[in-house]
Amino acid sequence: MMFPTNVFRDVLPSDFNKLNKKHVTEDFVAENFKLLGWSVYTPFNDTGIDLIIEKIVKKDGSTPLDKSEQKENNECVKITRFIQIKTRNLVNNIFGFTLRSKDIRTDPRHVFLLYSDKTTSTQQDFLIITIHDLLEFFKSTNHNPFASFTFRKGNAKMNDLKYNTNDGKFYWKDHSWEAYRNFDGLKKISDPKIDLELDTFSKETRSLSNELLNDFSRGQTFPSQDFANKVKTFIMSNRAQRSDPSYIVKLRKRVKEYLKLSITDQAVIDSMDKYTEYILSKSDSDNEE
Amino acid sequence: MEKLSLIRKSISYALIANGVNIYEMEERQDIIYAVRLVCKNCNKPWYMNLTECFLCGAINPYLYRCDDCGTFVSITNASGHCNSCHGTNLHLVCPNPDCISNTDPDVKKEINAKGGVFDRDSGFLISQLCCIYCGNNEHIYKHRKIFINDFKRHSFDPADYSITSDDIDSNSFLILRDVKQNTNIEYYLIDLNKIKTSPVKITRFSDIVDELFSK
Repeated sequence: MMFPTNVFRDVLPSDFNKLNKKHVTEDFVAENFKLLGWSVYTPFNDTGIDLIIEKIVKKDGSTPLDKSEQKENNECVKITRFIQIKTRNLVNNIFGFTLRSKDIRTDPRHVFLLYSDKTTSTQQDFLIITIHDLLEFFKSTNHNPFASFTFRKGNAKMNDLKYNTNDGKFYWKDHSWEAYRNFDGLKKISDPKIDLELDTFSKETRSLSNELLNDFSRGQTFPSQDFANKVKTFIMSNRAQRSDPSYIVKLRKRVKEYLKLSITDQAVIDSMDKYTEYILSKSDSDNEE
Repeated sequence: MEKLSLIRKSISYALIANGVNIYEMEERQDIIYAVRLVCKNCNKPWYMNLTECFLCGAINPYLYRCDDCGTFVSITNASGHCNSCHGTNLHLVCPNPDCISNTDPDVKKEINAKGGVFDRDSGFLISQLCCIYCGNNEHIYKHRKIFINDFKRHSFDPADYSITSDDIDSNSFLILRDVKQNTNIEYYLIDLNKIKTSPVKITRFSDIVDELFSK
């Protein structure tokens, strides 16, 4: 059996265009997981997560033979994954997509599923990777797309994931991404260790994201090396402190008190509180701030 | 009696109004999946749409500051002028007076040229990295599988609501809705892993959310 397989036999994925494919692509992914025995939940309201999938697996990652084996076997655990789907048509064999800082979660069960809906005219592919593994990949390959100004602006396009038509494989720059492709990627995200050692993986994910997010590259936007050095020095000197929750609480309390002293117009304070409340009420909505 | 699909929608919307994200399962009209992104330490909500200063961690105050006289101005100020001096040098600055974006004139000049730290074009703001309540820097998805039904025949037995032991996992709850004659609604919340000590009777919907996500 292939994964993914075309579950909608009356139409090809390649029959859709950019403007009418959003719903079908998310449904395509959902139905493919269902075929492999996953329970699938789809969003009722607009959120940053496109799918939630669950499955009972043995602690070694394998699937129990049947329900009675699930029940009898103390070695089974229910695993849950929160999936963010990005569907793209390859352009010049490049799978280009955007990541924003709000996409970088610390829950290690958060998964990116990059769906190439027309790798070839007859072939689709899933590149599936947990947030932990993605951050680990960037760190281990000395590639940090999160240090850039454009990433924090929210429009940093990742253009390094490519399909090589010669060998039929996916690469991120020179690094093979075949380990994250289709069944191989599925196997990686199905590791129950993530759920069983959630605390450990969560701390690791945060540590990795801190290292990558708290970095600054000046690029072409800030040509002054002096500026870049000052910013980088400030960030580095603050990094340890910012990992201390009590430091953050004190800092924010100090700032709040400073604002109270500095703002004499109650209407301005009311506006600040109201707008903050509005942003908080948008919660995990996928809409921009 | 209302259709189950309508009850499910109604309760889903009530949960959404209380800051919970809802997912549904095509195969079961009586199940919803409730998710909240929360701080791993204090369990309070995490807000990925909230931004903080990339440089120092101060939270976005959603205010302009006048460069000429230092007055803070509402973000909804439509005139584009400072209310105090009528100047037009307004920037979305970091509110922390000790942040390098305020203390170093060269850094300040570069960042303000892009509208200030909290201007989207500056590239100096970032999604919430630390909990706004306790300062912790890890967040996690809290999730609940919720069965929904009308309260039938005063029964709290899951079997009466077509719930089998196969359906139940460690995060499973049952919400029973009891619509009274005078349109008051009461709810029973049952932790399906602790049926003997459940149910909890609730009259205010927001209390359901507190109970569901308190642990």
